[in-house]
Amino acid sequence: MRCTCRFIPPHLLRRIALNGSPAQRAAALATLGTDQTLRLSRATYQLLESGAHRALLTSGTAIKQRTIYDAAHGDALPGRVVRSEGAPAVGDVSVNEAYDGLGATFDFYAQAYERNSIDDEGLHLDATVHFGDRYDNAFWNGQQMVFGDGDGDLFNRFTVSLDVIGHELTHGVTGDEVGLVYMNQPGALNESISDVFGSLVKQYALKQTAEQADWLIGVGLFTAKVHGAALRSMKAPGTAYDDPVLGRDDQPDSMSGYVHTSLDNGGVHINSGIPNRAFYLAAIALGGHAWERAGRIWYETLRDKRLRKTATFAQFARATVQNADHFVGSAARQAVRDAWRQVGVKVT
Amino acid sequence: MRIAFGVEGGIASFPGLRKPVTIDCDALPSEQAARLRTLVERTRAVTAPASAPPGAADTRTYTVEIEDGRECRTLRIPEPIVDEDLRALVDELRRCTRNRG
Repeated sequence: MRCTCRFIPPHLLRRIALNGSPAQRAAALATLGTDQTLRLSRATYQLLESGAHRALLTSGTAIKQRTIYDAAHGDALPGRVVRSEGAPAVGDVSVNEAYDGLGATFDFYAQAYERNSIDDEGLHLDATVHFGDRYDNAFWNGQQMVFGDGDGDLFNRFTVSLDVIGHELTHGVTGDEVGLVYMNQPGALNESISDVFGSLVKQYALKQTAEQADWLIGVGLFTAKVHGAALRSMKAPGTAYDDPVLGRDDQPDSMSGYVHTSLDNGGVHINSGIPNRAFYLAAIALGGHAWERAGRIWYETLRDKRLRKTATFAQFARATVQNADHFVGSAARQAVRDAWRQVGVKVT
Repeated sequence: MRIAFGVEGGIASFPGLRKPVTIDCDALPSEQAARLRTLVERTRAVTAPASAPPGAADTRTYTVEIEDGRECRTLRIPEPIVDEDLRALVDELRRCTRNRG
């Protein structure tokens, strides 16, 4: 039997191919793929057959695979296919906005963080539009995105905001990486992470710096009748709307205003204002394009295996400070620590 | 019969929409009141799942508190609503509480 000398044994290559960074995986797969021994051919074939790394294997880069469905105002998911990957625009603005928004989110994760789709394994992106009857919501059901048309009275169609699309898909990313429990502080972190990367998807598409960005979530969702700019403000939580029907935005901007409630899964959409503002402050302090430094720190924290699904604000904050040092540098460490301190979360 | 209809969760939590809206069946047009009574009666045998599917986010949970004479019961109905009877009840309650002019 032929003996092949190598630096990295095949079992390790296979581990890298499954668990490494996208670049490491591509290299490991290429190495496995070019090996001539029968044993390795078999191993490679098994890996190929597992299907998990199709996208990387075919081109070396991430490949989008979007499908947009139409629920035709019913509740059944996913509905009828109305636009598949590569198909031209159709006559329905919701379909095209969903298609483009999914694409912009995929491109952001691929280009800014070398992430291959939601699960980092090329997951196909599915979205359903025209869900329900004048449905005032958009949600992630654990597998796909769902958009309502809005009632036309308070809300417009939910595909209108790119950051909302980024927000929903990021719930998939968070679910894949750490699965932060959707309740109380870990739930508010889960929500905040969706706002952070939802906003970054928009900033990336517009090539805005942290200073130029509006830091609002859901601009365009309200009809002209509503007194308000957006669903939330990351820059100034608690100031996004003040309306006779919707009430006044009651997001706290620091721990002193933390809301204890049994509603909204323990206030996940309320207390998210606190970590949202911490991110905004860190992004402004670090300057430039927010996805490059602040975003990188938050992204690496989301991927940090030490982060638990029951993480509190303080535990998450500590991990961001550590990752700031590791991925950006010691000056960033201080900036991130200061950002958290300003919202009342002390990192010792 | 009185029904307190509330909606929790969704992509944002609006203070103005957080409080349950109370519907007094006696104050509704008789046809609508009868329809509502029938829909409420149909949900008696239904058991809704207590929470949204794993991994889901930004879904809503509807709360329906029914008070009829001495009887009082509460339904918690998370999205997505699979049961036809529950969906019909929620749709009707949404129609009853749509109020902005």
